[in-house]
Amino acid sequence: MVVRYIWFWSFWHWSRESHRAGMLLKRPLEGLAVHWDEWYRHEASARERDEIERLRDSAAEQQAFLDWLEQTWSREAVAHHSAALAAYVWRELRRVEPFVDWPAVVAVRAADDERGIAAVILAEVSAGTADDVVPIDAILLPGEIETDEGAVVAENFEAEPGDLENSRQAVLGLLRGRQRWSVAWRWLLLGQRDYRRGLAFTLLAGWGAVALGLAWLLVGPDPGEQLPWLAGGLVSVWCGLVLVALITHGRELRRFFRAGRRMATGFAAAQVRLRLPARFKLKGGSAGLAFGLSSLRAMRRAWPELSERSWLWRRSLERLDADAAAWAATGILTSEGAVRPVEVAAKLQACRQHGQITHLLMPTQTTVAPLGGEAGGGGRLQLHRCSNLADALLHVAALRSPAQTVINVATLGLSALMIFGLPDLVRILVPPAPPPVVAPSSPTPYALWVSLDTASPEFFQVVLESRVWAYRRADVRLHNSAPASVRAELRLLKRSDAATRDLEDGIVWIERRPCFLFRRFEPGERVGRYTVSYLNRLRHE
Amino acid sequence: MNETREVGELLRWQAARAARQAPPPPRAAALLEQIRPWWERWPERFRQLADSLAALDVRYGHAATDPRPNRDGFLVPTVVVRTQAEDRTHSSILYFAISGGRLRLRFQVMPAPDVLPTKAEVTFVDAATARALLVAPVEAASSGEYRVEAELPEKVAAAWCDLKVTDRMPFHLIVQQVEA
Repeated sequence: MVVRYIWFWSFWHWSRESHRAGMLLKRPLEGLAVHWDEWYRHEASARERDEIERLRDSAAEQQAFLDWLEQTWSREAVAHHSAALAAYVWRELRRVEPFVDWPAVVAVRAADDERGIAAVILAEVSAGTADDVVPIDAILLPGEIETDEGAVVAENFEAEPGDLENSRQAVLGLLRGRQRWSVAWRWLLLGQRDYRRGLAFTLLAGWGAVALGLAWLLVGPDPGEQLPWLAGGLVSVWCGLVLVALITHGRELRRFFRAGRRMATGFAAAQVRLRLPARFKLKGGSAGLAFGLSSLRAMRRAWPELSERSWLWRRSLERLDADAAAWAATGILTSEGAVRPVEVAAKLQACRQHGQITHLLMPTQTTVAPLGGEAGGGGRLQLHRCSNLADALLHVAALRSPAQTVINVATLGLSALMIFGLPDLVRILVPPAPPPVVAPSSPTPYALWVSLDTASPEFFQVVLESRVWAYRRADVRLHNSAPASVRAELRLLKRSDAATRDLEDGIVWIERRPCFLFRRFEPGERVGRYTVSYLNRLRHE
Repeated sequence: MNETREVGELLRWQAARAARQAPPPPRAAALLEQIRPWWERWPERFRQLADSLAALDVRYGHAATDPRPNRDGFLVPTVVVRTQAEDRTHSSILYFAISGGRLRLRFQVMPAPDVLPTKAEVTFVDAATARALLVAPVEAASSGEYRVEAELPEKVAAAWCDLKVTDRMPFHLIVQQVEA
């Protein structure tokens, strides 16, 4: 096995040993640039310098060194590997000799100029210019939380320590705290789905069938004997759709929470290093939202594999990473993840004048018209109001889908109808047992009470057929007047063509009358037969 | 041969002319004055700066919550003297090594004043006695950082050889801008 770049290993081990011996204050990763500077000046041997110099004129060799840093050194030298580690090391090295002038440095520097999320930091007496839009460079060093610098380091600017810690806590809350529920329900209600085209079509067709079925049941022609088939089909399709929704959404949410917990574990033990393009002393915390989003982006770059298993995280963080250069953010970020209002007028002006910023995340507040002057730089600036970090992330991830929102609302409405009407549908499919007639009977001779022992009165009706009394049909319902009972009350009217004088002539039929919500269908089968004389002899009370 | 003689005469003539035009040699007293350290030439000024440093000295109280030894180091009182201004601040010692009687030091002025001199020298002032120990040129490294490499007097080297970067430093610093 060939060990390459021994000089770099020499430096690394000198750095570690010197730190351990108390000669270097900062830990090897934290003080990489400083340590390299000292080692190169005083400790590197002539041979090592020659080897380093040999790389100066070969861009290919320099690139090979960068690749080695990423693929070999970063995996062997530190206990906690991350994809961002080599980028961090390179960023530090290229500030010092002899790396400053390397051609590969220039190329990498250009690549690194893919900007991150920008904060809007107004210079003193600035009315909002393009220079006030400041991209944030964030790198995450894993497993370095025990450093002396703290969990969030402002490398070349000063900020209130509380503001930096707030952004960190907000990110942790998003990964494993309450904020993740905010992401979850917003996605459930408003967000896109990751369905394959075939499944999406099938689901749409299914819900369409449910809608049609419900419409038929509520306002369509009476299905007659097809009613049980219709009800059964409706219930089956709806249950299937609900099951699919529960499984797919439940699976994605489970993956979302699990991936969030894993990322939170790593993030909690890592150090976030923030860098601005110039030295600032920040007054106020309006860059907090930008810091929070930058930290998320840094986490994604450090551990891209952790978010892979959750579509929601993968999509959100991929878009955050890929589109960062077009976004700016302003807003005070609390440790709970809420975004508080800030003064935005001049910041709007600054973003409008910036050529590359096309989206601005801001708190939910009334926008004051920007100060005078024409907006330059071209392009329209879209404002995205967000109340918390979860909301901001969903905006950046472009997960909101008006079409999906409409579908969600519609399916929720259909499901609500189904849930309310489910007892009726079940009764259509599994009709209740024929109810026996019970007391009380009517206390007067002018009416005939048919009291039934049933828990589903709306599902039955009674019919009187008699040679003496007029044909009558009545619904069964709960009567609260004394004596209270579930009964049908038939008003007796003598027929003009009565064929007999027997006042107790007549048959009362108990019929099933299916219903669904507010609709009653045509009567179904007859399930009970009682004579009038029998009914009259039931007790009155 | 004639050419050689002519060249020789020309050179002698040039030397004689240079000798006539050269300024008179400085007096021994003036030479001694020039090599005296600046704190001896301007003692009042030095006293003023040393008093400023003493006023900056931080008194540390350890409300320790961590059993591990302190890794933050201690800030060193520092005065940065520029042509038009003076800044009283502190420095963090990033690198401290003594090898073969030579000190290698790297420190970062914190917070760094808006303008830091790029061409400067640093004077080490004994923290206990407020006496100047040595002066050495510094090299500006990166933002707010300076590098020093200097030969230490024997006694100082012996006293400092066991110092670690996390120890409280027995010196204060005066960084003075040097005219180009």
